[in-house]
Amino acid sequence: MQRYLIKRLFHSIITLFFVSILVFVLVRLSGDPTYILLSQDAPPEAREAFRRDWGLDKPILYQYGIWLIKGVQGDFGESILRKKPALALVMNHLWNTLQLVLVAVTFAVVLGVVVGVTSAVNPGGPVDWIGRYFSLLGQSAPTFWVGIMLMLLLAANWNLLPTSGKGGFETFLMPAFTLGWFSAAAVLRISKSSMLDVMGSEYIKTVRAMGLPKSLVVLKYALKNAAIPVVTMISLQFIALLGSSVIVETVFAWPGIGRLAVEAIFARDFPLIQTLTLVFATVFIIINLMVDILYGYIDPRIRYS
Amino acid sequence: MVIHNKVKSVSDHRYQACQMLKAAFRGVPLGAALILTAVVCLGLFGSLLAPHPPTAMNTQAMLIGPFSHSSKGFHLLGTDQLGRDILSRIMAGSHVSLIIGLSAVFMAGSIGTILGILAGYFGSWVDSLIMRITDTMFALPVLVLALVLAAIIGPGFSNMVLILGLVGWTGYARLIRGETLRIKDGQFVKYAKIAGTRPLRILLRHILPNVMNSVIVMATLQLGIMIIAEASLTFLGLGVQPPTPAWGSMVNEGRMFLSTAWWISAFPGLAILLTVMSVNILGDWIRIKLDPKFRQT
Amino acid sequence: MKIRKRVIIGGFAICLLVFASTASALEGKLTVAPTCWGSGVLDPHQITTGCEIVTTGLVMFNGLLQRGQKGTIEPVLATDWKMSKDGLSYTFTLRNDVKFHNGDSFTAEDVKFSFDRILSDEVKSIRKPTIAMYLSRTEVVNPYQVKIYLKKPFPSIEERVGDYMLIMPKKYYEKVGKKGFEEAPVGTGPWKFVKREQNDALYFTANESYFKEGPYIKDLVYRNIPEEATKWAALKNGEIDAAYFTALPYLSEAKASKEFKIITIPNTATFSLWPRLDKPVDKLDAETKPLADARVRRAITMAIDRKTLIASTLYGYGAVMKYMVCPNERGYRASDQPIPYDPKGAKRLLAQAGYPNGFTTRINTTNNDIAKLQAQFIQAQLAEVGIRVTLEVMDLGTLYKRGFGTFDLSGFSTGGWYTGTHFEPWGWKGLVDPFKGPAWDDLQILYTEVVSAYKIADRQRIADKIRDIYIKEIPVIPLAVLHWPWVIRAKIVEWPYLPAYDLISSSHLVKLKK
Repeated sequence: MQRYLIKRLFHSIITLFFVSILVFVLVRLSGDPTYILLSQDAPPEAREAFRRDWGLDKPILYQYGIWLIKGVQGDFGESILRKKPALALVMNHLWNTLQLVLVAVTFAVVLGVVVGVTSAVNPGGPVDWIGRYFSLLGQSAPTFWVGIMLMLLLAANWNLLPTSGKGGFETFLMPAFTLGWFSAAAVLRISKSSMLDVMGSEYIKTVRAMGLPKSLVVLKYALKNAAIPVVTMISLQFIALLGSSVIVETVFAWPGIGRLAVEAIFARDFPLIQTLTLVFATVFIIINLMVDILYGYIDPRIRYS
Repeated sequence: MVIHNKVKSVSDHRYQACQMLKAAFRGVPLGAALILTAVVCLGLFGSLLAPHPPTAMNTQAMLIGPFSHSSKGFHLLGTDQLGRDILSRIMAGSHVSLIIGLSAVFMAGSIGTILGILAGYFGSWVDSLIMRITDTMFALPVLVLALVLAAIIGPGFSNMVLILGLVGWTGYARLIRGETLRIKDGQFVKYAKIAGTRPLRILLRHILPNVMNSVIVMATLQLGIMIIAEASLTFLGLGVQPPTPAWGSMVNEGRMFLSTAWWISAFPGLAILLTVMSVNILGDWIRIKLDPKFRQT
Repeated sequence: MKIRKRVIIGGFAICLLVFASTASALEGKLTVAPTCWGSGVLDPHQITTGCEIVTTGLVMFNGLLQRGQKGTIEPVLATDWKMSKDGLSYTFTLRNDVKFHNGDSFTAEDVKFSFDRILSDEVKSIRKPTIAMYLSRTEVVNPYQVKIYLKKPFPSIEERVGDYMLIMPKKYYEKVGKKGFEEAPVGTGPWKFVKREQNDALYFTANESYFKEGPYIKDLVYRNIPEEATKWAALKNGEIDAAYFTALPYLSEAKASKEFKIITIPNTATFSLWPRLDKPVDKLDAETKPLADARVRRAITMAIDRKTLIASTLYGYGAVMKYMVCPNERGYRASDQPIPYDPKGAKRLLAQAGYPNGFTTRINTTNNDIAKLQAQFIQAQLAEVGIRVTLEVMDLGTLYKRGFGTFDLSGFSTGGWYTGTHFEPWGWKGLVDPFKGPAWDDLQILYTEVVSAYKIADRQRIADKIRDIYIKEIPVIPLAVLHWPWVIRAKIVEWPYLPAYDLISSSHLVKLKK
């Protein structure tokens, strides 16, 4: 186990190193902040001076070296756009998105697991049918469209919920539903299939043959055995939502990491994009590692090699 | 079952062929299959069938509702903000959405499968290198990658496919690597190795066919996501070049009209919804057919 | 629902009235979704986008001068100013009755501190490089007089001391430092900073001892709402009172509703097609070469039905642009008429220029919804005179990089500018570099001259000459001048604005219905 962890840590560092190089090069290929921030008629001298101010006039390897050395010490530079330390900015926005995604994933899990398990136990029933089509609908509509429709109906026409911004729990409802509805289908699919798998296994057949009531069998024996693929899927959905929350954040004016990313990319705010990507990759690696470790606990048969 | 009785009267030979076909298509969700067939037909012949040229403007008939007439004829689904016929645009746009979705899935699937097989089969440093690259791409936030790539190579039809493909291959690589590892230890691969078969031949003849099921399962899951992703990227200002009608950009351009001229975005939105739902339903069906785990039930 | 809401608001109003007799004389709250948000930086020297200087900078801070409602430069923190004969130094006499929000008095020391700070290493803003090219040093003559020295004549200094060179309090800043100031900024402006929520809401309260007119409302709130549909929903359910809209479809809804009023601000911005003639004429590619011919540019102007373009893609919130000079800019002449729509004439001109069957070109445009729509409109119209257009959409950063950095665009690019931020004939030397011929040589000299023409009479003369060349040569295809609208709630009785500023820079003069 310990050897496995050390190896994983080593891999993670290599991955982060690759990520940092890739992003560093890619953002510099995508342009230059002076063209978007300085006005069109700015003289070339002004552009040069601005680049000098931000250290963008140096050779790329030198820039990367400086950034890496400072980054290892915890200094990720200042955002060109927001003029604040990039790391603090990213952490603040990441926290907002994490909260939103947690609520969204909870919704997706509740819908997905409940409907998935019920329909595996009673295939073809009304819950199976309605739940399946409802979640498929969520997965088949563009999220911005769902978000705007919800907002026009619930906020503008019926005045039930606030349109946008992050505040009390009521502000979470629409964006979290929009996000969660999209991933409910995936959770449902996997919980249904793994539940079917488990229900068909010899073990459950034996338990059932002993005459225990179906509901007890499902709740006490089958659910636990069906958990692994579901946990994986949930963690995957969590990561996917973190990475794609930008649309919901834009529609609902949510101060999250996705909007920060889009803003940073369109303004070519290099320090901010780099920090953001690196932080995201770290979160991603941590979640993955946690899931792998969790695996080992749920199913002792999994060996770490 | 009604069909069953009718078939009995035909000759034995044809009966058997029918039975085989029936077995292949048993339980096929009819509605979804019909919708998808219609979409594919539209994709192939849509621009020929369209009642109006899809990019023809008519400033005399802008934003007119469904079932109305203009100087240029009848508009079943109304017109958009430049007076273009919505129905014609949806018809012409079906091939854009389909081709983008299919080619992006094909590209992602090819890259991922090739890398996955190579990593799984050769192991050692090849495996390490490929898996670190995969981890790197996997760890990058999808949209950041897509936006930066779009800023570098510019948006547009083929670039869109390229971006979606480059962003979407990592899942395949991981899955196929695992499958390859499993198959590599199988008896037939061992015998082939002993018999001195060259690695390329083993990869193509023995491993590739055996991982195809997993690839197809994954691809069916991804197709719907790719079509939605195209629409989402349009919302962020990237996507297919106008005036090419793509469903995603039509929904996006019409989003501001949702409360005044709902038909602009509602109909292409419905087209996306029906297509992606059909893809997903058919995908579920194919998965059950291909994935041995499901056969038990 | 609506009725209940009115009752609640009514109740609120009564409470406020009772309170009003005891507490402050001001009441009411105005929530606005401003034109732009951008960075959310509050330090006026560090603000990243030009638009924010007006939306947040001028709310809390003042400059020495500012362009007023009549379009002329008016004194604000200064009472009087004088330029030296050679245009290389300016002396400003300051008001002696101004206090910062924290009670400190405003003096010449604050002006010197602010101007020195802009030039210091601490500030890395977008405007610093331009200002640093001209501004040399600032000298305190006496507590209410400062003198600035320039490296070379800077004709737009009078505008710059009203936007990019705003005044910060020396004492307070030295006490709290850069970070402290960003968290609790203090200025002399009509609104005092209260708090910031995430980066998405800013709260201000009235500076009741503001040295000029206003404010008339107690609280001002800015909300950052990026999506237009969300803005409209927020207006409809009462979360915001005013919004600057770029989503035209909602305007027709707002127009039909009694709850809202629409205020159009004339001549806010321009929209035009720029031929990308960035190389010598003989090196241009096939898609750009035809555009080097003035007859072709005229034909293209004639081939686009600009009235319908404005009616359909701008819902009529605009006017046909005559040339590259707008009504509020120097050099504009009211008697000039725009080139009329004449597709047949355009075809004849094209034939004369050697393109009887048209040619293929390209329009590079940003991914903004309206620009994309207009580009499609133009594409369809040019097709009717035989000019085949390919559209290429990219994000603004890419367009500017390719247009002003690597110069690898071909055909046209869409472009425009906010008229509120410059009043001189627009263009630059690089624009005319590739051309040959007497008119272009003149233009080149004029552009060079205007940069250092610090006497108004000289600028007028140059502007008139430049305009005459614009009329003849059409270096840029003029399309539309936008009259951009604000949607405001009917309870707002007055919504004053500066000419051409579509931004909210007069929030202190806004009045609500009692």
